[in-house]
Parts: sequence; C-alpha cells; structure tokens
Amino acid sequence: MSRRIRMAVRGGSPLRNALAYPSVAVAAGMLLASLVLTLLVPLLPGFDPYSQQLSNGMVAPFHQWAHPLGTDPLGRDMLSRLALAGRGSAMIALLALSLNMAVGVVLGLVAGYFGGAVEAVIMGVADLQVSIPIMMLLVMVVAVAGHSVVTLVLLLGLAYWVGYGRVARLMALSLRERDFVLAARTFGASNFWILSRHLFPQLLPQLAIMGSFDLGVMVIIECGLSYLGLGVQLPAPSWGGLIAEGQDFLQVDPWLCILPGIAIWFLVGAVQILSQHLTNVRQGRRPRKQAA
Amino acid sequence: MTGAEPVLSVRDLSIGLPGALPGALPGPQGLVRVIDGVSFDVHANEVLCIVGESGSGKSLSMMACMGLLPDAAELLSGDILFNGQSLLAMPEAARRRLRGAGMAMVFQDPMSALNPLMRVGSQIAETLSLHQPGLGKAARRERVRQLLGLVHIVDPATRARSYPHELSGGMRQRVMIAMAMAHRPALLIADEPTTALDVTVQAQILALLADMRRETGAAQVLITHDLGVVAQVADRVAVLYSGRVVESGTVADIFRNPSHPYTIGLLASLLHPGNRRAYAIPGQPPTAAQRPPGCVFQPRCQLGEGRAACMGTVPPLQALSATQHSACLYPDEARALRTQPEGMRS
Amino acid sequence: MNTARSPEPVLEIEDLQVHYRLRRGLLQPRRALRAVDGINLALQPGRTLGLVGESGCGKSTLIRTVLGLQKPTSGRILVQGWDINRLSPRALRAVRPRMQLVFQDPNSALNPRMTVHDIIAEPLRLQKRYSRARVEALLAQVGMPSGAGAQRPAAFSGGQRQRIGIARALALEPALLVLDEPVSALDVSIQAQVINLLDDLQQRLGLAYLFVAHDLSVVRHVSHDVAVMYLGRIVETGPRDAVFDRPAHPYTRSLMLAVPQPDLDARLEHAAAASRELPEPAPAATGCVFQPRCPRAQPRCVIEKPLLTPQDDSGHLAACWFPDC
Repeated sequence: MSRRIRMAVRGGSPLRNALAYPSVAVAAGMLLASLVLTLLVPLLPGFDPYSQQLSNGMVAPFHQWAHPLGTDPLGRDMLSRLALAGRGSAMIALLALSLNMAVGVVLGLVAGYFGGAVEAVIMGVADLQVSIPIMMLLVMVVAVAGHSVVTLVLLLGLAYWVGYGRVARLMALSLRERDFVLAARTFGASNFWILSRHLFPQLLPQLAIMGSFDLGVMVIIECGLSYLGLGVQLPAPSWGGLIAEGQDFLQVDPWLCILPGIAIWFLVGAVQILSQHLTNVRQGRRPRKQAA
Repeated sequence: MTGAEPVLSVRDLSIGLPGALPGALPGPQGLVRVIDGVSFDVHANEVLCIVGESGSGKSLSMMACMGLLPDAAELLSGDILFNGQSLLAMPEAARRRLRGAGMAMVFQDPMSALNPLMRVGSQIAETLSLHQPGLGKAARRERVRQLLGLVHIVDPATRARSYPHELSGGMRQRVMIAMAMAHRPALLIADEPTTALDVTVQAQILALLADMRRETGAAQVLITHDLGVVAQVADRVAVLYSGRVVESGTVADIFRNPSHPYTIGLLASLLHPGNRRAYAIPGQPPTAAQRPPGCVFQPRCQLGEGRAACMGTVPPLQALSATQHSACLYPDEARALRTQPEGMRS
Repeated sequence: MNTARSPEPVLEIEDLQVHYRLRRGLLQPRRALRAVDGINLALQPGRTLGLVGESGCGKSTLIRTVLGLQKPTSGRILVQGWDINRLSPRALRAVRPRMQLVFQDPNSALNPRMTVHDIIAEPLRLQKRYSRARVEALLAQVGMPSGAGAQRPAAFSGGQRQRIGIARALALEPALLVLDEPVSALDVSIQAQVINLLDDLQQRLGLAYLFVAHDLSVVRHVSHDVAVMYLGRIVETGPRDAVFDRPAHPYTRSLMLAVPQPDLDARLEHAAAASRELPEPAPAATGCVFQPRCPRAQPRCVIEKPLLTPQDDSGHLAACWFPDC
C-alpha cells in the first residue's frame, strides 16, 4: 500500500492520487452508488414508488426480480422509494447547504474586509445565532410554520451560515492588507472587484472541504427531522421518513429500516471521507515514510 | 587555529528531498539531490562564512548538522563529524542532548523563532532547564539576567519580562543569541542573522557575534549572501552553488584571488559607484532537479561555453594551495577573467 | 537647481504631514505619532530619487500617501500637477494610471491563483484598456519568455516574479513609478539583472522613479538624487555624489559607517564599532529628531529643530546645526 501511495504522490493527476488511498477508493464507490441510486434509478423503466400491491407486502431484498430491494408493507417497491427519498433528502440538503454558504461567505467577507461597525454588527448577529440551540429552534419553527420544502430549505439554510462566515471573515482579514490587494487599489479597483476577484477565489479550497463535510451533516439533519415527522411529508418520502415508517415493523421486516440506513450511510460517509481526504491534501499530510 | 581537529567536519554530504519543484522531473527514486557532495570544516575560534544564493543548499546543510531536516529528507551519502564523533551514527537521544548544548543555531527571523506567547526570560529559562535540569529557579533567573547582559541588553531584569512583540528586531536577535549561548556551545550557527534587520542594527549584531567568539572561543558558521558581511567577519569562506561547494578558502583567498567563475561573477555583481551598468551573471541557477551533467555552473559560465570537459564530468574540488580549493577545471583562466572586467558579459 | 529650465515635475510633495492618534490606555491622553512630519520633495521626469531610511522612518506611510492609498493629515501631493487629495473619487481613478507601484516582495505582490496574463491584464481591464497584444508586449518588454502568460507565479523564480510585477506596473503607462525595495528580496546575481532592466526602462520610457531602499550600495548605483529619512523627516538630501561623498548629517554618516563593505582593508575599522544597544528611535519632544542618538549632540540641538540648510551650491541640504564638512 505504501509504495503505491508513494508513487502516486510524486506526480499524476489529483484524482488518480486520491484513488490510491483505499479509504478514498471505497468512499468513491459509495458516492457512486448513491448517485446511481438517486439519479439513474428514477430513469429506469420499472421505477414506481407509488403503486401499492397489498398482496406483495414486506418482501425481503433479493427475492423478486421485479423488486430487487423488496417491498414495504403496502407492496410498494423499496428500490424506487429509496431513490425518490434520496432525491428529496439530497436536494433539500444541497439547497440548504448552498444557502448557508452563500449567506456565510458574503457576510463574512464583508465583515472582514470593511471592519468597523459593519463587522461588529455582523459578528454580533453571528454570536447571537450560535448561542441558540438549532434543533430546538428548527422544531419550534417547523411546528408553527409548516412542513413545506421551501420552509425547510430556508430554515436549514439560514441556521448554519456562521461557520462559513467566520472562515470568510478570517480570510478577508488576513488578505486585505496583502500586496496584491494594494496593487489592485492602485489600479483603481473598487471594493467589489477586490472582494470578488481576489478574496473570494482564495476561499474555494476551504469551502470545498467544509461544504463536503456539511453536506453529510445536512442530510443527517434532514433525515432526523423527517424521522420526527417534521420534515418532508409523505407521500414524497425521505430516508428519515422511511425509517420512521419502518420502525413499527422492526421485528417482522427489519429491512424496511436497514435499507434507508445504509443509503444514508453511503452518502454521508462518502462525502465525509472525501472531505477528510481534501483536508489531508490541503495540509500536506503524507503517509509516514519507512525508517531508512 | 588550523592543525587542531575541526569542531565540525562535513564530509561529502548529499541530501535528497522529494522532487516537487516547479517544472522538475523527479530523480530515480523520486528524490532530488538538493545537496550534492558538500564538504567543509570549521575550527575552534574561527568563523566560516557559507555564501550562496537561494537554492544553493546553504541553510539545509546546516540544518542537517543540527539534525533539523524535514521528515521527508533522506541522507544519500556522506557524514557529519562533531569533535570527531559522527553525528549521523548517533542515536537521536544523544543528538538531542547535543542540540543547544554543544551546538546552537540562530535563525534569520527572530519573530518566528520566538514563542509570541511567552516572555523572553521564560524562553531562555526553558532552554536552561532542558540541558541543566539541576539548576534551581533562582539560579536560573540569575543566569538569564547574566545572559541578557552578555548580549549587551540594557536593564536585563526588566527586559526579561517582555514579550517578543514588545521588542525591536535587533533586540529579538540578541535574545536569540543569548538563548544560543546559554550553554557555551562549541559551535554557533547563524543563518542570515542580520538580513531582516536595519543597517545600523546589523553592525551591532555582527560585532556582538564577534564578541561572543572572543569570549568563548567557539567556532562560528555564518550563512549569508552578503559579501560585505563576509569580508568583515569571515576567517574562511565556502561558496555554494546549486548544492555544491564551488570554492573554499580563507577570506583573503576568496577576495584577493578568486578562482572560480561563479565567485568572480558574484564579486563582479557588487555595485560599485563607478560603473553605470551593473554586471549580472546571465541566466539563472538551475533547480536541483535540472542540474546539467558536468559542472553545474557551466551553462552560465564564459569559460565553459562549449567546452567538453566542463560539460562532461563534475569537476572535483581541487586544492590550489594549502588553504584554497576550487571546483573549476581551469582556475588560471578564471583568475584572468578578473583582471579584464570588460571581458565579462553584462 | 536649474528651476528656470527644468520641465514640470512629475511629483511634488509639499509639507506633507501624516499623524496617527495612538491611545495608550483608557486613562492616558492620546499621543500623536508623527509618521510623516513635514516632507518636501520634487521629482523630475527621467530622474531617480533614492529614498533611504530604516524601519520606522515613515517611508511606508509616505509611499501610501503618495499613491493616494491613504489620506494625509495635511500637505499637498501633486502628480503631474494634479493635487490628488482634492480630486473626486472618479477623477482620482482617472489619475491613478500616472503613478504605479512596484513591491518589495514578489511573492505577495502577485495573486498566486491568477495566471500571469490575468495579473498583468488586471490594471488594463480596470481602466478599460485591455488588449491581448498589450499584455504580450509588456511581458516581452521586461524580458519574460513568450508563453509565460499561461502560467501561475509559482512557476517562476523570484527575479522573474519581480519582472512580472514591473510589467504590471508599466501597464497603464505611468509617469511615476514608486519602487519599494524592489531588489531587496532578490539574490545578488539577480538584483543586477533587475536593476539593469529598470535602468533600460527609464531611459526608454522617460519614467521618474521614487526608489525606496535601505541598501545603500543599491541606492548609490541607481539614484540621481538622494534623500535620507529619519523618523518622518528628511534629514539630508541632494545629488547622489554630494551626499555619499560628503555626508553632512550625523545620521547619514552613521548609516554609511554601518554598512559592511566588501573590502578586506576596511575590516579592522568595522570590528571596532560598538556592539552596544542603541536607544530606540523615539521622537524627541523638542529639538532635532536625531538628537537622542547623536554622538555630537549639543544643547542647541535639544532646544531648536534644525531646518534643511544648503551645504554647498549643488542643492545638497542637511538638517543639522553642526554638520560635517
């Protein structure tokens, strides 16, 4: 293993280098499986998460060709339901993540670059928000405002911007006095130009690391909310919702819970392993070399 | 001075680093010879100046002596002897005892070498307790005061309580020197100790280093790229170019009788008030991975243009006299270059 | 100085003052730090003014103010006749191309994530003067190989990065180039290449250089006139040879004595210099700024601030009551 890694680290594309690590290769496989599930399966001819067949309920996986992953108590195809649920969960998570990043990056850059009162206000709001327990807030708001996808995305999307905000602010603080920023000012660059062309691109590697990790977190939160009945409502299922349904039948057909669990694990585990790999690459950690 | 055993003796040292240099191709094992067969000696009560530009390997060779090479570096050949004992054969524990006590190093940028969160007095006390664990607290404090006085800091008791950022660059460098001298090392290595400092402070620090040497009789190695500093403080000089020693000798040898085109080129690059046009050695030093076969300076050398001997084999360091060595195959022609400044391309 | 026949100066600084208010603590009164304390300079086209000073002398503040990146407390800065502190932001933006800056550290002066082409194109794009050909021409003018535009700064050596910085500074066809220690971070053998390049460019384009450096040998080589700065004031100024051959101010003398000369015969003198710690540069409340460190301070120096007075007919001025001859 170490020889392969040593060879890979010398040169070659980052992708090939990454795949030389076994953990990354496994994660890539898991991610691929998740993508296939959520993107390709719905395109297959047999895709049908809705039609019920009460006589064919609770079939175990790998028993019927028509239902490769079995059926639920109402006879609906599990594979199709998983795929649909995956779409829902992943989409909400992705949208929420994007909103968090966008809000965080903009507020953070502005705070760090301009300083003074602007920074004080933004950071004050950030500190305030962090002090509120998020889950509690989410539960309360959803209970009041309802379950629509929009509400959910807005809520999740505005709950976690502070992490990105702080990173962006630090970046802006450390870069705003750098010579190349000064140079841009001597050319007559506006603040917007400097922020968008010089400061923002420097954030991208860090955003990739944080974003990939947080994607997993968002999926878990969304599934958690759905499990509690606060998320996306049926009939559009979520993996969390599937688990909630299946838990009544745990003694009889554990697959109803296990399958969505595996699906969550594949997606979340994959992105988090990839995030860790990106972190390692960024920090230049190499495998320890053997004693000479 | 000479004749006694050298305090430090570097013999044919070669060190490799993983090849990640821009535009470079890695060597056979993915390692690039950053230092390639370097040898020099330092004796007690003597100052050796190692002169080189970036990429010459001057800092790395001294880090190797101190045992502070990055993890990824590999020793390819050669040895380092300290007072006759091989450092590379020593177990790590023994080397650690030596570090700070037998040999000490002062770095270029004192701000990054000092812990910003500790008072300077505590930092000096820390190195004392590492190597002299028997010293009591009061004795340590007194020794710290002594050391700060040794480096001519006024009011050492108050200064010991300062944090690094409260001190000027020159003062920080004095603190570094105090830390290095805490155990009266036999060898003091200074890596560009004055480059980051103002001119007037530079002069003070150089004079201070000279005082230290007079007081303790230690050997000193000064790494620098400034020929002015070399002329003022060096007893002996080693000129490094792209990981190899191209010339070595006493300071008089190097300044009055330079015998390698690179040394001559460096001396000619010095800006004199007279000439309008500065002399510049054409081209750039090669990266460690792109060294030409044969003499490493040949692509930029007037003498070596098209000469098969220069391009074919790596010229060895030949003795030109009891003190001077040159890695040029044609040292006489090189010396002739010097007396004809118009003969040099500009 | 032949003011009757000299062309309009590219840069004129009149009694520039930049003060900072420092607050030592809640209960202590605010102190004014006079980073720039009454500077007067003039720079003609095609000439180089070498500005010498150590850290803390205020040259960074001076540079920022000259380039319009910072507002002075008082005083005027005229760039080709335009008073940059009285212009509207839009007008200032239009004047900016006339004054550009070359940085000390080629590593931080170039955005490492941008290609060289984009780096040089940036000023052109900002001022709506972009053309691919112009970028290529600029790269060629500073001696960079063709195809350099597609690469990132990390692919180049320090000397080459400095050339890229110079190319960028020339993009808007400035009349004034401020160079902040442009060769200090470079190896000796590369320094000469860059100095020669700057010399060529000055001859070809008629640029005026404000060359800030602490390396006296470099300043001596490149300058036509020299000004020595200490704690926000000019203590000596004049034609290069006059100042270097006959330094009148004690600070100038101490600077020159402190520089290690690559001359073996001068060796013993240097070793005799004191290694004692000098008191730090701190502004004196009254009198001469240099007086606390001056080996020749007299009572008069403590009381009265000396003005720049002519030492001879060549325009050599020094601010000292007891200058050397």
